Amino acid sequence: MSNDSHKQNRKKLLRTLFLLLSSLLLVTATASVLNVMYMQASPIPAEAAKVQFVTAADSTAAGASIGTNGTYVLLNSMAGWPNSTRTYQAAVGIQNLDTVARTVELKFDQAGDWSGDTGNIDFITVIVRDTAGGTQQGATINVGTAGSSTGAISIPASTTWVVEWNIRWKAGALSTNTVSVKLTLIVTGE
Amino acid sequence: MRIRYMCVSILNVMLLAILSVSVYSSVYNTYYGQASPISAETPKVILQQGTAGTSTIYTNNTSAKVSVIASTIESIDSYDKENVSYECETVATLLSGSQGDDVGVWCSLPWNFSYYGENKSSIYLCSNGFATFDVAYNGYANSLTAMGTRKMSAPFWDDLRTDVNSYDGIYAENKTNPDRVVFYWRTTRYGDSSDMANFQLVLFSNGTIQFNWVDFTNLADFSPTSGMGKGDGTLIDITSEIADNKSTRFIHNAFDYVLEVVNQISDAWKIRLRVYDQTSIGRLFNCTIFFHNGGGVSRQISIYNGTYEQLFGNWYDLNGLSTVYIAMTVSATATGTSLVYAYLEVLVPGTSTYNLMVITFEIS
Repeated sequence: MSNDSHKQNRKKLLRTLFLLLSSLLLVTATASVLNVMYMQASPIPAEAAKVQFVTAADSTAAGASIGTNGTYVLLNSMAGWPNSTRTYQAAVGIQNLDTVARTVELKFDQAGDWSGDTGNIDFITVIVRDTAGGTQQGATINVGTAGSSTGAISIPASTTWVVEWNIRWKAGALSTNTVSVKLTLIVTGE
Repeated sequence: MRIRYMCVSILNVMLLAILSVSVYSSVYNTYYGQASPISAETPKVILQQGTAGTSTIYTNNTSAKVSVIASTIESIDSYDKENVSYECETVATLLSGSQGDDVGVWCSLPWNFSYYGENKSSIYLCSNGFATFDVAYNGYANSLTAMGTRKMSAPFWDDLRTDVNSYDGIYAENKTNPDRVVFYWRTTRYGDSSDMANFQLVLFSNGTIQFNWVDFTNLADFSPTSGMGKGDGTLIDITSEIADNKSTRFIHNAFDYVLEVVNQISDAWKIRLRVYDQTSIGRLFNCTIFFHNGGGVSRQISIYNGTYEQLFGNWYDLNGLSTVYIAMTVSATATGTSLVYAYLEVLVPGTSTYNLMVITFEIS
């Protein structure tokens, strides 16, 4: 390769770099002279949630209380016998009320999302299924593992899935032991 | 050339801008579900040791290991034998057709009689000193094997005749207080009519069976078989106990069982067994695991000739404050150890909420 072509390439590179830097400056630089514009959002309505928590076959046994608008659920009477696995096949349902499929993700987000006598828990897993005991949707959530989630799963229009809880206390657990768990349901889209 | 570089550069800038915008364009909603409290509660249904095999019950009585020996059939139904005071009942009615050599007659029973847990409405009485259920049989060649493979109750099975003396034959009479039916054999030994054997079979309505050996002439000349056969090879042999003026009674022992499933609360449950793993079951010829509650039986797991016939059973009622028994029959074609791992599923009726208890069946 000749010296001329080396020079040409170097020039091209320099030009490209220059252009990139210029564009970045255009995006990020704060002008000392500015104009103020306003953005107005109105109305911002409170609309009915398109995906909601609903009761399912085992909601009574699990002590499920669905919050107003179906965007919160409290399960306050789940339990398990030590060294035995308790399964609530349909502790609560997730219903897509929309006319199109929705992407949802159920997640144990972070370590702080459970508390109590967690050392006496052998495992708690949560599984989303199409029906009680039916086909699993997404991955199994291992409670206690930060970030463990179903992954993004698409719930078809006008469909209800169920959330299964599996609880196993260690053999040494006492009847006074309890834990609390928070799961996050992320529903993508408006 | 310069124009081309300009175009490329502009495209780069646009791409960057699109990327930076799209990262923030996702619209999503976040809901929360909270489970609080999730409690560890005292087990309401527990496992306890049975009467057969060796059971290890683990902490909290929510899992267990059962060890049985395949050569010993863990019967789901059996009898306890006890010697009782000698009795000889008066029986007047000679059964028509009961006199002869290798002959027999069917006789209707006044109530359903439970023989090894099976209800029988009639009995076949043979001149050779035994009675059978379901199938007529007049064989004179007595043996323990032949008894075990038949549903046979044999006070004194030998090659006998009931037609030598005028009074020979099989007599029968229904009696009450307690309800029972008495059969009385008056016989001689085939080949020598001077050898005589008189004995009784008594069936009680509660399932108890009694042999009354009344009197024998030249007992040593006989070579009898005495006891009861279940029909599957299982038998009770009391031949060595035969003697003049002696009575022996078999009391229906509900069931032998390897584990108890005890409901400690007044709420009802439904239970079933379900296999989830196994080791070396190829040697198991016939392994059946049952539930029973004293009134009925439910087959839950069945292995025949080394393969599963049934991996799980039907739901079975575990009523409030009640007990269900887990029983099993086992036979194997070779030595070794087989393991069958099963869940005992304890279901809350009307829901799909259940508990899984692990039970390991070890069959040597």
